[in-house]
Amino acid sequence: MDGPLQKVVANIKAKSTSPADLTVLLTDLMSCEELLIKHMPQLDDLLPVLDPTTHTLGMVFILNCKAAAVPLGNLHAVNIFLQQCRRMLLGCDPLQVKLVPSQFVAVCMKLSAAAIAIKSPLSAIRPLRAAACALQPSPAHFTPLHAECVKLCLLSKCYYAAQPLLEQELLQIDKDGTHVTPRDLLLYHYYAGMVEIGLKRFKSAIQYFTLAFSAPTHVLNAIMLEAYKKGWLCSLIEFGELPRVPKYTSTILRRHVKSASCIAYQELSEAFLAHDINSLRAALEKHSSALQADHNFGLAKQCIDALKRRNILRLTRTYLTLSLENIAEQAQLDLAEAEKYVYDMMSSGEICASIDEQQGMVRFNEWEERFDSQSTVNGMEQSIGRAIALAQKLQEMNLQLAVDHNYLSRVSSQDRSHSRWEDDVNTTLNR
Amino acid sequence: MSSTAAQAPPPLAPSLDVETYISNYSGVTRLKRLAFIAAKSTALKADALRMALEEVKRTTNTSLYLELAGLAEPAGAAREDAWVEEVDRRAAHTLEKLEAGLAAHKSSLVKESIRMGHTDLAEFYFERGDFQNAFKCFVRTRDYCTTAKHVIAMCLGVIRVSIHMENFTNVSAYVGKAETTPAESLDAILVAQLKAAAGLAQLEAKNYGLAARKFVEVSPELGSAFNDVLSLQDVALYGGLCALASFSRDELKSKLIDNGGFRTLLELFPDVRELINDFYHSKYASCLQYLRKLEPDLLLDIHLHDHVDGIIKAIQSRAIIQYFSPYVRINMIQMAAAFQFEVNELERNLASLISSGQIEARIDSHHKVLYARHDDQRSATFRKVLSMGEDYMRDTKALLLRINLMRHDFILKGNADTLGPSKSSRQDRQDHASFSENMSL
Repeated sequence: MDGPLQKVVANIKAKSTSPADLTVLLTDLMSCEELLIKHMPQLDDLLPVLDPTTHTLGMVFILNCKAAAVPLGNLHAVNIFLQQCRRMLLGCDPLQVKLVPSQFVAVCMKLSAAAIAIKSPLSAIRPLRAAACALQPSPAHFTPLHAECVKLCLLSKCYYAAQPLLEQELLQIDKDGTHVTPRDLLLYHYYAGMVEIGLKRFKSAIQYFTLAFSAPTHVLNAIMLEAYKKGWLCSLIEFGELPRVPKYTSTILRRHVKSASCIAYQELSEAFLAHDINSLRAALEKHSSALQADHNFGLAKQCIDALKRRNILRLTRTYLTLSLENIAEQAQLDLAEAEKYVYDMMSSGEICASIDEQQGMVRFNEWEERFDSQSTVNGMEQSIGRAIALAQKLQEMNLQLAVDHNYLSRVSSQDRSHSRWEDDVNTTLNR
Repeated sequence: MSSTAAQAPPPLAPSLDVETYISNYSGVTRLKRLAFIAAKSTALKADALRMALEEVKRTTNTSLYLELAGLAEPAGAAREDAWVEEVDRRAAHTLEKLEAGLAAHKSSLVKESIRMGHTDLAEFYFERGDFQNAFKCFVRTRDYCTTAKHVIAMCLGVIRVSIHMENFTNVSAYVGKAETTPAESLDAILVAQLKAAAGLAQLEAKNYGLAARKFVEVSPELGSAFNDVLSLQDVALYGGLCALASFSRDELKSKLIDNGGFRTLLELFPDVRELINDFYHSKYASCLQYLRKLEPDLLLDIHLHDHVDGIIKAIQSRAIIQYFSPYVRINMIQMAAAFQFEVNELERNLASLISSGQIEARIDSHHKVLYARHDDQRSATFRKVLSMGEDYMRDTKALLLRINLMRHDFILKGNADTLGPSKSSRQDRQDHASFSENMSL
């Protein structure tokens, strides 16, 4: 390690304590970026000397310089880079990270790309999760790293690994602090929805997809469209109905999904809503190439199973007893399949029924849930608590808006031509 | 049973005597109804066509004549081209005269004359069967109306034309206009005409309940004033059927059976009167019998034919619902006997009524017993509250996020910069491709 680098390290070590020093260090580092790039090969020796927790700022700078030059084809180099990033991200100091958001995000993105390049996305999940939390000004803020981390979870099929991030109630945006873009938000919601599909939590998946496709936009966006399609299928599977579209969803998207380009989905849902398994199969067959091109074929196939279950469920609301043959006939199944489905649904608790083997009769019983247990009370209380907390947030937002400079100037101006922004805020508040 | 009626000429069809039936009407509707019967029923085709041809030669409607003659040709009726030419020539002459008259009135700037000119022209077109132009001329008189009476005359003209054009949204619109026109005292006949037209428009829009409400308000004073559109018997028939298909028992009693005006109308159509009485007195078998008897005739009605199926199904459903309403459990075999249904058919009907939420019951298919179901209010409320709470949370969160997005101007724009989606969308698709396997699980 020669002179100039030695000096940089010394500087980092000296000025990594107080906030005032850190700002000085930041300007120092900015000015010596060239120097770092010049001495690229020696940078690897520098990092072990520094402590991730105390010297985060310096390490981010050094890694950022290095990141641009890591050859993704070289397994050894990538592995070293991964190791270095892991060490820094898992121990980093959130306060220092927030001083250099753009560099920090760049390092993380490179890390993610590197992990994907060596086909081990799993290895970057934990560091990225830590990084996302470090970059957040509060646990309610979006960061670009959220989307990236969830994407890695998807790629490695470790859906549960995304859980800690999905549990955060993300509502806030800080463009300067986190360098988040609208596209990151869309991707986050889209990936999150897909993770929920992987976990078979369709209800929550639909929520994420809805957030993605109802985002404010002036243009038709591919992510939104894909989110809409996936949400469409999930909605059929979970609720057996068309997706609920918030009224503020952009008209461009609404028009597009009604156009001929989404004919596959339209015909699928038509068959589904008519409770007709054969025509659903036919529609699936007919549009299999389009669905495969959208990577939704598997999801679409799940619709068939969902429809079979839904048809049986519908029978339970109409009949008290029904022979297996009639069940099979009305649900368009063959006898063995009908028995299997009834049996499956009984054991999973979807329906409450008993089979009389001798007479081939199925007796459907009413639901046992009486809502009078202690757990009901607890669940209720929790829900009410959450709703109150949310209402408080809403109240805060209302107060903030009431003194918001932009809002007040709009309201006080005599200009009657309502701007888009104001209209939107008003309608959203009035709802 | 409706399907058999549609397939073949129904055995009961002769109950309709074309001559008596058509004598209830006047003007262009006679022609249209005859032509309609000729097109729908093979048994009555010859009769209807013959009468229509005789009829049409008394008018100047040459295009309809040609159409009818074309239909009648296979039966050996020769087309009289000479007559057509003669009439066309005369019509062209009249048209010229009328237009010249109108032009003269226009230059003289006398409003009333211009209005008359347009009206004459409209009547001329109407007579010729050119409803498009008649409609235009009627609408044009609007600018020259000076009194409320003129406005109403204009509306009525438009309504007649629109009915024959089968443009029923226009009918509703102009009925509305006529009804809101401030006139000192509307003629009772006029009011009845407007009500009948409004009822017809609602019937065509499949709003049977609203149609029934309009028809039962038609007073018998209408007489034959609206015979070029529909007869009093028609009002009784349409009104009665629509009422059965949509009214509750109480409404049936107050609006039909106790309604003196409408009862007079019902006397003109005893079958419908019996139908309503049977329904009200819960004699469903005989009620449905009357319906079945009427059905072939109904299918030949120019306005009703499209709705026969829907109305009969609705009446059947209402009958089943009403029959079951006082019971907690009922033997389906007995019930089927009361309706003269097959048990399986009844079961199917019941199942569709239950799944559409019109009956709260469940079927014991094994013992053929139908049980009323009394939903547990308490758990239903719990379930509803929970789902409403969930919806509230979800929507509110989405809105909070949206407000934040708006405040930070986080709106996707089509710029080609790094934030823009257009450039990155292809990239996204590649991203998606890489985890496609997830989806095919």
